[in-house]
Amino acid sequence: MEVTETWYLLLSAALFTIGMIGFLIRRNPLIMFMCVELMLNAVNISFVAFSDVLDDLSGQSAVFFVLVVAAAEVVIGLSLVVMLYRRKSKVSVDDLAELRG
Amino acid sequence: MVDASVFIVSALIILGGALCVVFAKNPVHAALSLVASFFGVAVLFVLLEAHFLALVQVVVYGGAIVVLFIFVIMLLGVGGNAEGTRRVPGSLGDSKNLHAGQNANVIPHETSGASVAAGSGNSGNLHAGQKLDATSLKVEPITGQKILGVLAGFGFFAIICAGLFLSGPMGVEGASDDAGAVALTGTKNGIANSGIESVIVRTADGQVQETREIANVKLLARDIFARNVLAFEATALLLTIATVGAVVMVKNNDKELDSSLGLKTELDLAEGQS
Repeated sequence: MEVTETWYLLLSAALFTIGMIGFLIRRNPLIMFMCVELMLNAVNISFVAFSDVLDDLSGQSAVFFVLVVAAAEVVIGLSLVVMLYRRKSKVSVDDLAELRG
Repeated sequence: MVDASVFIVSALIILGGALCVVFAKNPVHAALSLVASFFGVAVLFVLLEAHFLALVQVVVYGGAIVVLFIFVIMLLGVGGNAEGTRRVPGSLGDSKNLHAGQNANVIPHETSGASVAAGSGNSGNLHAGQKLDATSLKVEPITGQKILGVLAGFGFFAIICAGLFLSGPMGVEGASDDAGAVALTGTKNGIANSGIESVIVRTADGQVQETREIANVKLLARDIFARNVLAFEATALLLTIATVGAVVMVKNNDKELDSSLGLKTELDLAEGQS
């Protein structure tokens, strides 16, 4: 039984699906950020799998940049959550509806 | 065989951790499950011979990002304590039963006047409010949001699997035919980039693994710092902007909160500081 890249792609698709479902059904912004991280990780898995298959390191450097962008996104998102919590004293994405023009 | 067992175990850890993230009631549990999932991904990276990325995965994701999550969770004062659980249904751990009526009952207890009226008023005819994005977003999400979300997720998974299996063998085999130019140039670039290290791999047959392990880091460094220097610099700029932006946002909010004390009720303030 040999591990082919199809296994990795299937796992990546499953992980992305779980993250997507979580993002759609949860309303807690912290959990939603975690689900975004799950989706980013799923894409990272497929990047590295393709990098291994094609014997090309561009996929791995792409993963590196995705990681940095994910860190920046988490910083901004969590500061938004803290700000939201200070205003509303409860954190739910529904409160963000008041941000509209 | 070893590869397969390692893959299966780490895949189970990844998917189990991800499911725990989605379905955990307590955000702290979700964050810890996220660590498990990230570790599984790191194991897969080792399996794919991306050693540097495995290290960075553990350090940055499992370390920094999850610690940041847990720090914010603790900062917002949500643990497993009694007060936290009392606040949980509407706030941090959102209720698992997402029926519109029950959530519309939960929300008005915690929000103030106007939205209570709006909530109880619109919760009756959610199908009508579904059209009006503004009010329906403000009051309570779409009816059957959970079912729709799960359906959308499985539809997405089905589409991905269909694409994977319908075009799978042809895509991989045909890579040398149709899109072969990209793949071949990629391979040749890899070999051309590797240069000395590939020679080392070929000559020292006994230590193939170790030399490739070292070579991976060197090659990745060369790829990032030589071919993608501009992106790397942009990354530095992005991180600086993100840090400054986070500080500025939180500080400005502080000032606004202080200056707009008159607009807020005492109850809001007390809740905001607790």
